[in-house]
Amino acid sequence: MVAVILHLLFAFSQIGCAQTVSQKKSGQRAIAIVLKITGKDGKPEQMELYSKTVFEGKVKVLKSNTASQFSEPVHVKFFKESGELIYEEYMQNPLKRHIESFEPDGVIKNNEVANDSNGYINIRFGIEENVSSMKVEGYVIVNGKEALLSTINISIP
Amino acid sequence: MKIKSHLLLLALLFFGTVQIKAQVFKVDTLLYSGDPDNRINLVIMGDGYTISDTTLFRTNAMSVVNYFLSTPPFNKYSNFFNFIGIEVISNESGTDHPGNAPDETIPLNQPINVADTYLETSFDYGLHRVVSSNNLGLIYSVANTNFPQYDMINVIVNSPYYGGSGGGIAFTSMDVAAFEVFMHELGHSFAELSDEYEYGSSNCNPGNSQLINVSQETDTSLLVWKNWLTTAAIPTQPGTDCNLIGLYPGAYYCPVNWYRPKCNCKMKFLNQPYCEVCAEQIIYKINSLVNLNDDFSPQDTTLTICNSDVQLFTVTQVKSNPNTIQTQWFVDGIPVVNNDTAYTFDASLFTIGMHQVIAESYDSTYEVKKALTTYRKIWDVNVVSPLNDIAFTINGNNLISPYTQSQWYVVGDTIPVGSTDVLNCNQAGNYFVTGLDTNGCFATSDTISTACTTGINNIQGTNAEIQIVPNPFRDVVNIYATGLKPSSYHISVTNVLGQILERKEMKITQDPFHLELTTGELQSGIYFLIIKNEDSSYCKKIIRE
Repeated sequence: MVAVILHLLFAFSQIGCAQTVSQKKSGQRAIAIVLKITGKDGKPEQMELYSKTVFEGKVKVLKSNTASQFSEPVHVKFFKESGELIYEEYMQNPLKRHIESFEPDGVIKNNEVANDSNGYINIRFGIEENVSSMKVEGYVIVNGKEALLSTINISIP
Repeated sequence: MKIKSHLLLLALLFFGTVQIKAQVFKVDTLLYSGDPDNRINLVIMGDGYTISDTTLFRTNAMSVVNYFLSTPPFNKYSNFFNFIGIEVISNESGTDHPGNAPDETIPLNQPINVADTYLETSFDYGLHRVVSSNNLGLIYSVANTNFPQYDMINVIVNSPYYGGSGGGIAFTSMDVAAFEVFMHELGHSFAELSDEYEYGSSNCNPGNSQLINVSQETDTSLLVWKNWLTTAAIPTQPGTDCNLIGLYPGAYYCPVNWYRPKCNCKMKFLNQPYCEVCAEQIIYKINSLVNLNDDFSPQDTTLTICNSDVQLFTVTQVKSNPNTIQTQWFVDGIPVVNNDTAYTFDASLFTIGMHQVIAESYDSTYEVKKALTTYRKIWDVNVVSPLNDIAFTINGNNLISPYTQSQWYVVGDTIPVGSTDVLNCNQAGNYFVTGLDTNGCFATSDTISTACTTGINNIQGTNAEIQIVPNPFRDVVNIYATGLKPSSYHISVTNVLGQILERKEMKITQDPFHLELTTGELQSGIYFLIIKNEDSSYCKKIIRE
């Protein structure tokens, strides 16, 4: 009964006065992929697909995409079925998580790197209409050399 | 560990799948300024807001929006941003406070709390004030599922106590002081700015590396912010020229060998404005992500214009406030109009042939010293002359215009004798036709002498059949018609010079139709019987014995 009431309350909230944003169909197709990285002591060992979303819209590039901007980058490559490279991106190793914080005075701060056993990377990029599947290869870069973490096959609806 | 996490794990084990499908939540427009593809979209999602807290979430989210829009230089560029709220619904209000951070004071400054929240946020990530979540994957997935065109994410946590953190995603509690953490993090995630504070780095050796707002370079001619330098001593000691842009020791976590542009900046201390160099970078980023030409007209960028016509070109700017966006117009590379969103192209002033009209929009703000992105809209314009003096085609008594929207004339008459592209000629004369040529230009045809004496037996464009009995005739001629459209008709008899000798006006409503026409005064000779309404005509040669 409680669940039903909550459901009704939720449904009622959906018809409230707040506006819903118009997500204009631009004709451009894009994919958002969240990858879960697991490992030990901040060292990635494995990569798996956490979620994927295919959508119509433009993905803007906010940050430059080079390995040099990260101290311990993870390199992710996306290939078509034909083997053609579609997209690649360098990301900070998500198992070495930078957490920055400040005291309310705005002066005293902390910028710590936490070693985690799992972390996530989020990658979005435009894809062509005819791409129906992709192969994803994740690499960790150690001492300038890339070591393969995992290979994942992704179907695209 | 939260109850929800256990359930999720059990579900995963049971169904044997690893891919997470984030829940769909209500998406609110907090502030909309334009097409998400041409705006910077800031998504604000809440954690620790129950179904009963949705109004509170919107209120809190708007607090973040208002804070953002009151912070220079973002305050001048509100039209460049959309603010979208994702109403993430949690089972319980608030957030976790385990009370186990090593810097917790006794007594605790806030009560220990456990809340079942969707995004699993908590205080005490290493330090008490650090609010974050271990499940960043879920946060990304919620954003991707609900508003994938986002450019930045801020998670607001339903707690009145100060806390927050930065990284890939900014977390802020609802203590307004925490909003500054979000603004600092935007410096990183949006503008690629670096921290300007010192923080125990072990890698502070000399070098010449440079980033946007931190540098090891002491040669000012090579400094990335050299254009901002004025009279400050180099290096610049705090307390002497603190309001000048200079080369202040200590930046990028290092007390030495790294420099920053100004004593104080939001990238060093919160509650400070962004320094000029950082503000410039933010403006640069805004300008690089949003096309200043938001819309344009005409939409067709390849045009043909007659040399007697004018064409209005317009662009719709994304405006700053106060507006510093300007549009310069060029024709064939030559500036024609500045600081106007419209330009009228008068084709008579240009030669026949191809021309290029360009609207170039740019931000003229004085707050930057480096080149900003300019946006060009280009139209290729072909100026053509009208296709005059083309001969129309004669097919029996049908005169076929080379134009559209034709008007037929007989030389000497100012009133057109027909307004169709195919004229059924009913009198001899010198004809010409005007209309729109294949380029859409108003044109006039060649003049052709046309006899129009062979006659035709059907009314153009209809299935009517008309018989004249007898022909040749004496005093009376009978007109038998079938299939005539009910209409008012002019029935006239003309001589070979086109002069009207007999004329009747009548409304024909019956089908078949019969009319006995008495023509007693006509001399022997050749005449034309014309039956005509507003959109068709019939012409038949008749002979008086």
